[in-house]
Amino acid sequence: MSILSSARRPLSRRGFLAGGAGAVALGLGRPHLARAAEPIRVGILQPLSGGLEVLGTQGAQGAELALLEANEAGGVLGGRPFEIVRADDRTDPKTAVERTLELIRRNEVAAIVGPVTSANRDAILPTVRRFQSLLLYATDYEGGVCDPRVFCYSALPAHWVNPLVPYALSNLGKAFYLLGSDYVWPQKMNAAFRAEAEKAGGRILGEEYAPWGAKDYAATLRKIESSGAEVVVVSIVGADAVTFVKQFAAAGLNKRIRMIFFGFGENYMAGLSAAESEGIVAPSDFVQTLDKPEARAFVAKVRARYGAGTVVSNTVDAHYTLTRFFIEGVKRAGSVDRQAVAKAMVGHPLTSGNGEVVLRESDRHADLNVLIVLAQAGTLKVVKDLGRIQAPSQCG
Amino acid sequence: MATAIALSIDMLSFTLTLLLVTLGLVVIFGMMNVINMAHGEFFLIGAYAVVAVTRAGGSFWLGLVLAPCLLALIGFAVEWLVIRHIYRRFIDTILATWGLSLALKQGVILLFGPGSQSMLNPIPGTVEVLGVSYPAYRLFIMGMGLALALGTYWLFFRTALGLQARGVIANRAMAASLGINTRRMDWATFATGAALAGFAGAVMSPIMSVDPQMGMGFLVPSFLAVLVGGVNSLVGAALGSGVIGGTTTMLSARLDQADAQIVVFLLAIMVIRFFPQGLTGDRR
Repeated sequence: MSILSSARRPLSRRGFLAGGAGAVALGLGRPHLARAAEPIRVGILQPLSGGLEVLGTQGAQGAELALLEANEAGGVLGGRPFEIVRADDRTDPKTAVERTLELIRRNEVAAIVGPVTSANRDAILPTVRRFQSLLLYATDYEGGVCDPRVFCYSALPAHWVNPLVPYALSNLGKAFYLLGSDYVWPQKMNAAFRAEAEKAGGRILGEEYAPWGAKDYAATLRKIESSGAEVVVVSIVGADAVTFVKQFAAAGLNKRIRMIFFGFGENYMAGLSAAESEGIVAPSDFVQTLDKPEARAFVAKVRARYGAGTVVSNTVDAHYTLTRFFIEGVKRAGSVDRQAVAKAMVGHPLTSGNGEVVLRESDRHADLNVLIVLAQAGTLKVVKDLGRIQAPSQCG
Repeated sequence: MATAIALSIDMLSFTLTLLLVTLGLVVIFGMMNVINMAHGEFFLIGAYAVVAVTRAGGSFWLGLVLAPCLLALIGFAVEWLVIRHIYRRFIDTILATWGLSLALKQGVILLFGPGSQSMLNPIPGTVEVLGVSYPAYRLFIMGMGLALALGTYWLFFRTALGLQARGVIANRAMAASLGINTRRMDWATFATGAALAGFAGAVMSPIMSVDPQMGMGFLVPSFLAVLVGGVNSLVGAALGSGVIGGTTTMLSARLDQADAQIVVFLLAIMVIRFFPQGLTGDRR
């Protein structure tokens, strides 16, 4: 089922009305509501099944929270509430395209929040362009999307690699082994890492890619060990990364070799024991243990709505913040005209879960505030706050 | 020299790991001729059984004992509810067990959530083997793979029970006329295969990500090992695991793991092309 109104949670009366209106609109045509109260539909296109449920659920939570908050504050444009239309792309590009078409043509959404994988994003881009919809993409990626309708709240290679390399050289070691999953993001990350490290006097002793679903890293671990590397730089994603870290620790390499792990966060910690994750270093733009007033407030807000045990990862924060950029854009534009909203979204700062951010006018990407975090005794500790990092424009 | 020894142990390690995972498939796919798409989910449930037991305060070892028992029950239920109706309908088997695999996987997601589960390594640390320091738990897995392979061989080829089971598979009518309860043999064999898969999942849980997708990754190399080695043969499965596991590890020592996998798949295609019955199969 692709349509799931927000009726799963305790709602304000307005939110309930919005959900009800949507259900009616589907089957029987729109009810006769005053124009002022006509809901603004927003599609949340996330992988709610098919392997990336964890990220999909968190992305949906972030986006939903921002929209529900706006509704609770009385809606926008003189009382119009947002109506959430959830769609599951099943972590599959073909399904993502079908759902996107449905969201745009049947549900007539004003914008789509998602998806997660680069493959799905690239698959739906032509559809988004054709119907001139707005796409809010809030997952870290390899860079290079330049489209007047696509907004990216994403850590790019430059956000993470550039500030991390000097830190690694002075704190972790000078000889690196790069290991990633066999697709575009790790390859771009490693290319960026290699360039930065070699410029700064580091040595790259190996670069390797592992197939999806690899279950045995014995040979790779052997190569890492015999290369004499002091630091292994991991850009394996998902469950494969958990398997790698487990086998890395079981082989006792974590006592001799440090690990940098791109994309590491609370979600990975859940699959590892404290001993296995101990000492992993990662760049991130938000962690739930961040000791800043805006971070504490955000974590409290998410947990108040979704339960005390909710993981508040950077995925939640990114989707929440980017959706707020959209809401503010609608308010500023004074309409849901896509071109006007797109113009109104950029160039105005907003406080995220970690400091102030702004969507750049040049390429509609956000410059993020980057932290370096360290896994210690089962939690993530911020060891360095690098502040705002500027990435080169993605339109050029 | 040390590298050669290390490489040999690595190759042996992956071979025995693969053999451990493949054993259940040998019984269900190789011997019973049932293409069980839910095999990966049997593996998955085995791993989650250990997670559940340790969550409830039990030890890892208790989980390791209970997992195959649970899977034997599940295997029995699946055989009774689904498989027994479609033994002679090859294509339907694929569809039915695929549906079953989806249902089982979603069941695990409903119970445990979609994320990875953390699992303590019960034997952390490394051991010196011939001058190479080796993860202790991997040695345990290797031992388990070997012991279980021998045990399965003994059960099916050295006991009267095994002879009866193979007799039912080879010629059902004849076996029945000799007074063997063929129905009982069917479910017992299927439950054994399921229990083996569950045990493999339980044993592997400390050194791989325990998540709802974990069954898939081993399914492909396991089917390949059975096909390469020769269906309907335990020796074939051992040989197939050696070919797939050994060459993967050996090639990975030189190449990118991603490239090594491509070469191994090509190799498997070639073997199956020239030995359609597998390496141990009839060569007519």
